[in-house]
Amino acid sequence: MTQPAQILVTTTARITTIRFDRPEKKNAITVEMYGALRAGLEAAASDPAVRAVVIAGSRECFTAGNDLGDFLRTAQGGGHVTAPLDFLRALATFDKPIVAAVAGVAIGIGTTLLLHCDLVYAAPTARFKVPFVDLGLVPEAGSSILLPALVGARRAAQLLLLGEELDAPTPPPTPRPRASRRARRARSAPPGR
Amino acid sequence: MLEAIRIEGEAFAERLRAPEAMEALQAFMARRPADFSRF
Repeated sequence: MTQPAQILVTTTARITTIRFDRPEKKNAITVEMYGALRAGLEAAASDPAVRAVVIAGSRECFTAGNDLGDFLRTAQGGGHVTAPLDFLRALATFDKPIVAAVAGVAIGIGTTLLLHCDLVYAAPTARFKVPFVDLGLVPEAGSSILLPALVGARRAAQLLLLGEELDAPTPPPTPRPRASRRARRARSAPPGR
Repeated sequence: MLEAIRIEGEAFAERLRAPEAMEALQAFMARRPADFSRF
């Protein structure tokens, strides 16, 4: 029986959107989904009308990462699955802008794939985690290079060696209200102060 | 970058076949804490 796509690829107004669509499993990525992700990127790369790609999940979840059932079957089979690597190669060599929209959890490859994106927009609900150490695994997707370059060596060590979680950054207070408050204070102060 | 992805991919595949990963994955599927004490 054919599996449902679970990766939705649409192109509108010269932008290809690749969306995880497996909500019942928090968008965990199966081998078949890696193939669909790669195919979506390759189609966008070869279509001159496409100018950019958006990678997104749902409002509740970006992706919980690799489907661990797939991992277990691969481990038990002693085999080597090439689909994730094929997708990562397509992602790393993609030559048009990639924009990611993240809400909810982005775990494992859900975070490391973001390191290859040109822009990442995170909702306040976004949470990033690379818990490879918890699974007895090692970083992937070039994250051992890209993550330290992006967040610094020590923060990367916290994320990769300790499996700590990273929340979406809290936006700083907007300067305008603070400036207005200071302006009002200055206006009410006597001259010379 | 492609070379880094390749090297990490090889290490990842090797670790995936290791008993530590097997224990972690089986624990996850069984919804129990992993027991790494024997490694």
